Amino acid sequence: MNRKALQLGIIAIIVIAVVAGAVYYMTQEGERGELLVYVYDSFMAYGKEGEKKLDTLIRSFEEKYNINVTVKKFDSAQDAYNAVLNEIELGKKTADVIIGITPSLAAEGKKKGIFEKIDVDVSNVNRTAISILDPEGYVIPLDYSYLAMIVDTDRLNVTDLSLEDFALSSELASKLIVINPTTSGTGLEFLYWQYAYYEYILGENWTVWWKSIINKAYVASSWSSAFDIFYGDQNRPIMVSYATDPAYSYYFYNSTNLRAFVSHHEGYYYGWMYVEGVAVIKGTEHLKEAKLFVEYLLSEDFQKEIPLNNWMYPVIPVALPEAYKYALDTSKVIPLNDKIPPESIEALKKYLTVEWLKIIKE
Amino acid sequence: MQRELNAYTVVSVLVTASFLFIFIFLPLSYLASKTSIESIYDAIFGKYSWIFIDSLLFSFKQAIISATISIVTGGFVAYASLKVSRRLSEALRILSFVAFMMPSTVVATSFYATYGIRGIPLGKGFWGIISAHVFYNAPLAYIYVYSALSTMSRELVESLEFYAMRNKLKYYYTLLRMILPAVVSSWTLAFVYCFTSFAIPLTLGGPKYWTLEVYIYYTTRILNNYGLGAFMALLQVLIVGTVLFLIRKYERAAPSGAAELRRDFRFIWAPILYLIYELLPLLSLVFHAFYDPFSRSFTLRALFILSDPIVLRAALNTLYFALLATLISLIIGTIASMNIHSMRISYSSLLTSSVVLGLGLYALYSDRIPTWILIPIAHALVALPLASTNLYVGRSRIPQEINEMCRLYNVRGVRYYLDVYIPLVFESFLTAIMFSIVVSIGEFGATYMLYQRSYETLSVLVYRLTSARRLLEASLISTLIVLLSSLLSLGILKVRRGDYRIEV
Repeated sequence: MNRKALQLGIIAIIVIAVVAGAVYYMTQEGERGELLVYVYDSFMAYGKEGEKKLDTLIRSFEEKYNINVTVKKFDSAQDAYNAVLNEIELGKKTADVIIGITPSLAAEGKKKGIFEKIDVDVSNVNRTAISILDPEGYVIPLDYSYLAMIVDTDRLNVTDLSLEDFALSSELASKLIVINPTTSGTGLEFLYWQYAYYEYILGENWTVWWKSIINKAYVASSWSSAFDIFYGDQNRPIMVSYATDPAYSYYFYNSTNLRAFVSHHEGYYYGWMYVEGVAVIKGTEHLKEAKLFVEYLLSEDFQKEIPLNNWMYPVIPVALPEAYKYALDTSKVIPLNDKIPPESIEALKKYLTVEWLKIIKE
Repeated sequence: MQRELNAYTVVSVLVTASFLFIFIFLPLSYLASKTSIESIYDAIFGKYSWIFIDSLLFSFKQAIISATISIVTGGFVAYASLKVSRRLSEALRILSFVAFMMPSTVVATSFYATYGIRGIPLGKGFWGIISAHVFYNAPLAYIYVYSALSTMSRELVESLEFYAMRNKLKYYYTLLRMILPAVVSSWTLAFVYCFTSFAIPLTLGGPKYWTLEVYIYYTTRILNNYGLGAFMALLQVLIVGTVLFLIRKYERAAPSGAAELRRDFRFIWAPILYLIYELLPLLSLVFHAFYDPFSRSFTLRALFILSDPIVLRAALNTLYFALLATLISLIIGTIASMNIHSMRISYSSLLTSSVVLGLGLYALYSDRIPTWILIPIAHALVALPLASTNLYVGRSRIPQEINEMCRLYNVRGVRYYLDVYIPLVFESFLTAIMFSIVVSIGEFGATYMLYQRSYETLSVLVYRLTSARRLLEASLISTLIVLLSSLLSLGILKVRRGDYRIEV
């Protein structure tokens, strides 16, 4: 084969592969549906069907209402929210609906005026979740849980744990995995909890805790990283996670070795309610479809799937599966969310993350 | 004929400049329009200005330290290996070239796996960043200093060595002065690479050690503060532009001598240490693909990840992006290689770091151009200087007589390209392809700014796995990337017949 033929052959192979790839990507992207939904990629993905569960539920909505839905997935709810903000800021087309909005994102988004008020029936929706997430009705709760310190009791036998224990024992702190609040929504919510508990319950400066643990604890970049490290590194049997983790462990592995703890002081338990909600983006051309979609998310058909697929509590009264008897009993937990009013949350987020960075860098 | 040549020159300059204008200068201008006096004031004097100042100072500090250690190490090893054996120094030159072309996420993973997981400072934190940067830039210095030393005049070196018997200090001083342009050029380049480094500080530094690049990423993608992010991006372009402009002042044409340094085997320790430093992290990837440091046992568990759809998707994305990036850089590179002016214009993409490039492309084009095209465009822009220079070198090697004959027999346009140009620049063409592929496979900064999970590449996947300390899987995928990258780098050397220049 002469050089010219070889060279033309190489170009031809590259061109053919590029064209084939382009066709593949165009097919994958598909036609844009009537409703564009942004969601984090693990939403409803922790059940036996994995990521397919959300697809099934979305197809069910599409068939019921004859509305096409395009779902765009992001690494985290924060990323999905950032994408909406970026797209609005840069004047680009954005989502009609976004799923995974936390109280801090709700307050921030409302202040920026990016959410549309949604007129849906919330009479049977958990009142605490509404009051924590958004009493004004711009963001509607979908599910909730409590943040907790999860311990693998096979590796560390503890019967009692509170946040201040880590500050008192560097050995305990060296077993802990926390999550970077500058890159993770769960990490940020944990920072709010720790701040509220130290400042309002213990009456101490919140930075003291971080200064005592930061050189011992492992700072993971995301919840999933923390989870991988929790199971990968035998020396780190405690992680910041959710109250329902023991139920997950029981359901999938028939294991009762995980225990969840929240902080306690003078006989009272203090936690941080983690609420996820759905919001409609202001200016959407599909307001009617978006409202129907939100109503579908609040329906029993959808809500009953939450406990075993998203491992959170549904916001409407739905019978919980048996595995949930292993989850933390949250009935006695006092949520500290009201210590941080929505109007101050954006400024507090900046203050806390910057001060946290300062501690890390010291 | 002169008019025809000028027309080709104009077209070449116009096409190259338009491509760069659309994909670099327009996005940069768009970013500039997003910044404001308030953003600049806030960054420098605001309540949280310390993060910006801290990141900026840290960028300078780590870049200066990394570049200096790299040049001292690489330069000395080049000298020492030439004192030991010419064959050894040639072998180290091949190793240096291969190491320099390694993807940054893979190097970060290898340092973390080799040292960081065992608590050795070389693998995480400040010294982790420095040592991973030295891994890249000591080879750069080696190649530059080796070329400078081995192309000095034989007579000059002989008289210097004779003189050295009486005054060692003066000998080294004179030698250093003679290779100073190579030292300054390699230091400056190393400084730019370290200053704009993203994957290494992100993986090994964590939240404690933020460079300007990491802060740009954080400000724009996490805080959504485009004003501040754009200001920092422009500041970064200004710093890199100034440094690259200064480097031109020190450029000298390489002398064409063939010096031989007097043999002295007492220097053997330096090449050996260098060999260990460069090879150990890469070899340890193979080890860590099958050794679980947490349970301290060997396992084949990592192999399961190869059947994971996420890995398959990342591999296909990587392959596709590399091919499309190669096609784009070949087309633009061929046009840019038509004359020296357009080739120099193609170097403009060096002004932006890959993070700033990704940010600009995201800001301006993310809703106009699909991500699966935008990522390869970013990769092509990073690879363009290498592709265009190689194609230019190939084109300039076409004998003038052949071009004259073509003109005489009116062989031009497509026929000229098919019958004359393509067969004659075959080696340069292959080199440009391999450079583009190896750059695309390893590119992280721009990809990370642009990607969504469905467009994840192997490089990004390695970063995610390493961050989650899934070292078995991260090491296994890194090993495969190292093999591919090494093969391509060796292929480049084979085709270029020992030409080790890393054109920038």
